Amino acid sequence: MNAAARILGVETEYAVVGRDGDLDPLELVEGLMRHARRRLAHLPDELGRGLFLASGGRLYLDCAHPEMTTPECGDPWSLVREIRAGERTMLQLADEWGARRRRGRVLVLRTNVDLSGSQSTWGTHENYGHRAAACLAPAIVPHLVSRVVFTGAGGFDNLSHGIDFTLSPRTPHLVREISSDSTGRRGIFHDKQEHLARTHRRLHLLCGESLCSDLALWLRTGTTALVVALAEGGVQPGAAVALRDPVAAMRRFASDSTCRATAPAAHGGALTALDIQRHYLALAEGHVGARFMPSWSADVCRAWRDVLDRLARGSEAVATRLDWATKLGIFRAHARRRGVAWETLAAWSPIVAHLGAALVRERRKEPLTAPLVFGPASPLEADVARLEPIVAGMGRSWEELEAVLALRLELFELDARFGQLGDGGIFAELDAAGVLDHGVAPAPDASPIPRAARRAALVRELAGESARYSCTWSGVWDSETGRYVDLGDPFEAQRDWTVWTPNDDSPPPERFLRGRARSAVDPIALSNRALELRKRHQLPQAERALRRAIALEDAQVPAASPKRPHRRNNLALVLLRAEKLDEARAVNAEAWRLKAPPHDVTSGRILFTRVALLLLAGERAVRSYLGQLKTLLASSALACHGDVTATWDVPDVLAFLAERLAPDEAGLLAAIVETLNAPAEAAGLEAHARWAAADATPLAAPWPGP
Amino acid sequence: MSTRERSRLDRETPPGAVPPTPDAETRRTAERLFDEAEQAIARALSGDSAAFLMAARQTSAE
Repeated sequence: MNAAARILGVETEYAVVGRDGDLDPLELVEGLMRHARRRLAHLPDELGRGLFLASGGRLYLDCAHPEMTTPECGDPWSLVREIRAGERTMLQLADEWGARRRRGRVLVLRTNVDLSGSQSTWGTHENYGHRAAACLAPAIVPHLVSRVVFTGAGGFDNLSHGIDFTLSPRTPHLVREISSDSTGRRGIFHDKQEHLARTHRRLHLLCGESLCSDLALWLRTGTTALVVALAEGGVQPGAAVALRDPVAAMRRFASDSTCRATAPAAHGGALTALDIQRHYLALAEGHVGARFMPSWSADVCRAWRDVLDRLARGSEAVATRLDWATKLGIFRAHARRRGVAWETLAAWSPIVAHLGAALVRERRKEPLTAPLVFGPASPLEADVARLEPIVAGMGRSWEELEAVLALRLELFELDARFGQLGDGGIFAELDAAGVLDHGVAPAPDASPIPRAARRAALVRELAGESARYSCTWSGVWDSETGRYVDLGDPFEAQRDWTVWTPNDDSPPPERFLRGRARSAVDPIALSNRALELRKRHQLPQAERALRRAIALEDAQVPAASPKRPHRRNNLALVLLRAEKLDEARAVNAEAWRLKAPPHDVTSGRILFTRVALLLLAGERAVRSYLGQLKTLLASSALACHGDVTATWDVPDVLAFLAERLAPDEAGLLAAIVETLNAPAEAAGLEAHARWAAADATPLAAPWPGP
Repeated sequence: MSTRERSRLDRETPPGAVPPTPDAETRRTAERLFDEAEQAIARALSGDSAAFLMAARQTSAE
């Protein structure tokens, strides 16, 4: 394996919003996931709650929101492309689900913090495969702390209750340098020990945010991957820029839109975020071409240098490029239009924060509004009185606060609407208007990560057989046969299925083990599943299930069992639907050879299939087969020796034939099915000229050819 | 790390410094963005931001 090869991935949580007063949010999201199961080709994940998709990525319900994970990517271009593809999937699902419910549009938001007062966050987790022996924290923490100047999503600190703009709203939620917890007491560096591959460890970062700018996303991935590569190469890139208090430094950098704030360095002195970033950049530039650096290092370094140079010129120099700077610029402009100077918000923020905290103490969940603060039944009357002298001391009036509170809620809504997917999303509209400049350098030729490509191909091939197959990051598992495709090595994905043994390295999913524990597979259940698959137009899956059912059943029943011709004729119908006419004829002929007397309803179905196949092939010599059917139907009531269902459920086959045959031919075939299903009510077969012209033919008469 | 590099990294950057004045081209680009954003914002705002935020409220932490 190439030492410079990278494995990159991102997990993104999305907010899903229905109409005001809509369903419980969890019901809304669960409905969306049910729609996803119906709509998207997939295999179930380990627990059966999530879906591995045809992209090789995964969609699942995490707590109360959908989370989309990209497949493993080898370069930042591919990762950005996969993230955007995942967003398009989310948007499509939400639009379709909204239309289906007929209760207004369902919105999907790329947002990072909940500004309604819950103080919750939506996570965006980055993953970097690596093989560094030592802990990466010292190498990478200064980078993570300082990269917020270009990776920050921008927005408001939702822990403060005030109106505090931050380059990175995720930052206030990071309270430790290193943690192993992703939902409480989160760390800048997340020491998750779940590697998902035999050959690589996984650096799992919690400090990233959902971003709209392709450039910001690409740079975040590219620069961080280069820092990981430097660490793998033994460069120790963080040593010279270690910080005395990384958490405090990150908060300081995130709160300063001039990018000039400093933080104490561990070795003495003070560093700005740009100082630290220029240090990492210089190291990366100095190692371009090293065996451990990816081939795209120079592209990333060029863009990295450019963005740092622009940041040194102020936020307006990156206002069309980076999320936080775009937000800051348009939020400032909006405040101005509402008659509130941006700087005024900072002055009011402590007062608003005090009132917001008081509202929480009153166990009120609604956002802070002027009527709530100043209304006749205000729960904050005492707080307002206490703050009166402070407000007067600031030289401000409560009337001014009314406008500030209204603006605050609008800004919070705009923050959420900024990353709204599809029409109406602010970033999307600005992008469509051509006023943004967030494109990245042209992508180099790149191959997908082998295991991601293999997983994607298997999902496409096996989708629809969720009861049998399941998928994990390190394998695709067949609980029926006990085999799996080993994807434990991302760069050496296996092509073939192998029988799993407990000594294998790849841990199987619970569903696989449960499936193995069940008794032998029932061919009838398999065949019934094939029927459903055929009706859903999932023909390759239906064919596979029937072939498997035939193989299992042949080993279980006598050679003369009526099940054998019945099952083969069902397979012939699937092949007919798949337009594999030659194969279908061979299997149908085999069914007839196996159909030992006494003849029964299965004989009629085999003859129907024969006639249908000949007509589809443009052959008109169907008279003798119609004659055999005539003989069959003329005998006493049609028996059923194979214990098969009395009603032949083939509307999909008839619809398929009606699209391809002349009306009289399709009508004859439909009448034959109707008659086979209810012989006592012969469905006017005599009205069909071909039927009337056919002479009764002995059932023992041999079929000519295959 | 070289002495020169240490010296560069150790320098004190004055906190609270005002950002540099953007050049005319940067200013024009930003103004165009803000003008376009005004229309996008007008279309995006629901008219009842409090209700929107409550509809988008997260029910459990990640």
